[in-house]
Amino acid sequence: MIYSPKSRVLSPAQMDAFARELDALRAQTLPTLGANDARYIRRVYAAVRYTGLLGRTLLVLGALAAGLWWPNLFWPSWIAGVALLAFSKILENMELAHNVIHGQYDWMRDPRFEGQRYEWDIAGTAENWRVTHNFRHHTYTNIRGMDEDLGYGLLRIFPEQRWKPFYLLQPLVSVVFAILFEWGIAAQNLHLGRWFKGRMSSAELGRALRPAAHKIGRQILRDYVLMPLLAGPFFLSVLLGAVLANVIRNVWTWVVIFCGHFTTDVITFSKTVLKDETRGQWYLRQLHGSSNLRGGRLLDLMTGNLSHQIEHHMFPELPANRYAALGKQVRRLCATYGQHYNTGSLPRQFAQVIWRLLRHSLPSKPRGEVHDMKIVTG
Amino acid sequence: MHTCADMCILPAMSSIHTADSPMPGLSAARTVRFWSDWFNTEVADFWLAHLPARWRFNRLLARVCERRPAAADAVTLRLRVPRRWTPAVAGQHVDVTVEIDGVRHTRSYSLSAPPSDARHIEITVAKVAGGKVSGYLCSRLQAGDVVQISPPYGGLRLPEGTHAPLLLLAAGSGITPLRALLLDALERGWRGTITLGYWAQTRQSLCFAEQWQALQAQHDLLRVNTFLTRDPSAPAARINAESLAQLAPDLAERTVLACGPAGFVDLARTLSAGAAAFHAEGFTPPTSPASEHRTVRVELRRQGLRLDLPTDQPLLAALESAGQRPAHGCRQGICNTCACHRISGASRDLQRDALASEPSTSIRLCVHAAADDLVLDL
Repeated sequence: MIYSPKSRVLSPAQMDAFARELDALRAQTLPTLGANDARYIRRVYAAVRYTGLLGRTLLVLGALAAGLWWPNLFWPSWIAGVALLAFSKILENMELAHNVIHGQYDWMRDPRFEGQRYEWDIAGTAENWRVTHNFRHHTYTNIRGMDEDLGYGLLRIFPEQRWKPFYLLQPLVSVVFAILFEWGIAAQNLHLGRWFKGRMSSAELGRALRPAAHKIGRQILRDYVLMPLLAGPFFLSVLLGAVLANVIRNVWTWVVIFCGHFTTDVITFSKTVLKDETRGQWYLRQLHGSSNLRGGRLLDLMTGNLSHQIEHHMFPELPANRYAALGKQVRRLCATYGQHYNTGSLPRQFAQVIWRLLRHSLPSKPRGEVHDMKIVTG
Repeated sequence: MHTCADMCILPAMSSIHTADSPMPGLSAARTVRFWSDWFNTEVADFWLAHLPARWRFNRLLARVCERRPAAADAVTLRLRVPRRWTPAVAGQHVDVTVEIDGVRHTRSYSLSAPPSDARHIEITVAKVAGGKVSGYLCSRLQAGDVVQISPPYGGLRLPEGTHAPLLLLAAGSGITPLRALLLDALERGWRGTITLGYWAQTRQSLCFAEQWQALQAQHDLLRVNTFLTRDPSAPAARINAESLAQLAPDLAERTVLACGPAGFVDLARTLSAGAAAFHAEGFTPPTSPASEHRTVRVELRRQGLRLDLPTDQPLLAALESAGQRPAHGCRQGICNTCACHRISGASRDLQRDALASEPSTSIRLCVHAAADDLVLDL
């Protein structure tokens, strides 16, 4: 049987060899981590701080100056402020926090970049993210019923998911979900669905909710109360600016994450693949469960190197600034072993995501049996 | 202890702590905890780093005021410590953290002189062959550079309330805390005899060589004997009953303070059985990569537990067999959920088959096995 319709079937020996080559890539990279990688992540950290402060300052001082003296200043400073704040948050969430929380920079032994301690600038807690993302999503990547990122319990993205009339609203639900993405992430590990269905007591939910509520409270206090109040009577424009910056970040992260796992050639798996899964099978699952975005260094930066989603899933513990270089070698290996390497430009990959969201809002059936395959050799 | 035990691990010390965790009972640490409830103190430290002052929330920074040679391959560093640093006394140690090639390294050094005032301390660092940190401190660190330090801790003390005759026994870098105690006793006008026996390998590695003569000339009650075990013309014997009898015929009246490698300290303890009192600190070199499987003592610091665990299985599995339930996720080194601090001791990275003994390092329990006695922040 085959694993991916566009890929060659590998024998167990070939799969082992494939895994050994990828393990060797990791082993070659680890000892080379050093001053350059440390400098890189420190620069990203500094860029987050500088652009964030500048964006907030422009929003507040711009509102004050425009309100009191120069009305013409309002739009330029507001737009620049929103753009900088959104840039800062995107950079923080994607290139800094996501990678640091994976433990990619733990080898520096700098508490500022330590995966277990880092808390990020988003509504959800890093603690919950470590469970839903680092553990469940990265261990059970694209396994239906185990990887909650497959539709987030809200969307029908693969034909194997059972269709319900609710999914007819999917185009609308998707837009709302994209705009409120950080709140979706914040709620992901709270399992509100179980509570709605009465499978979780309110007391249990309350316990799970407390740290999340604390974090959300701090975020709202800072972005939507304290910062606007600094502009005094002109607080409304600052508030709207902060809301917009957060929404821009939400939509962008939603786009990048959906492009990473929901393009046309991406495959989902049934739980049976986990039984006696070899290292080679694990690598193949990561490869065929992910898709890359082709672009330049700016795209790499703005996506937190999730433009190299395949490499990220193969080597989640390696610093993301190495993915571009690793990608060339991974791609060569995939060619050698006849494995499809799913990559494309952002518009192309995103169009495929949109098509999936639209297509599977209507009843659909899996095509053939290719999706449920456990890797067996013929 | 150990000025120059570059790769040493700290055994049997009651006050080992991580360099970055706030010390309990420290008022400055309480202040930091208070602020960290209100804002991200790491972000605050980022901005504070833009000011000339070295004040930080999460770290104590010391400036190198002066460096002068202590031996051919040893250097004495005079450090200006922050105001909120707990004043140190002779015999205590301080952890020094420096960044080399993007990686932070922490080593423990003893004060080599009693502090002249509350804001200055001196440590002496001997260059160890192949020692990363000692090499950096001896060769690359310049006056004006900044290093991170811990609060002072532990160590030997002069006997309280008496002027008992002292016998100080030092081997190698064990000289530093004993020199601090000796100078402290002389400053205080110690009325008992003080005898120092100092074992070093060669004349080049003898620290403070010129100073011993001058001190003896100034103080009638002081005698210093040096033993050069690898002297090309007349190599001295290691510490033995004969040398001890020669140093202190009145051993029964002496308070013995000893510092050096564990073997030296053990021998000194046996030989000093007849002394009035014996206090010592020893340090051990890192274990050689032992391939044989054995059982080591693993301390879980937060729980105050000590367990005997095998070295031939991952720490996570070993801890679970011992009835512990550490947080974990994928069990294969992907998700970083089980990462915790190795406060001291050595572990083996099973993925890289590499031995690691750097203190205060985040390790993933599922892909690390114990290699020697360990202290974990669990």
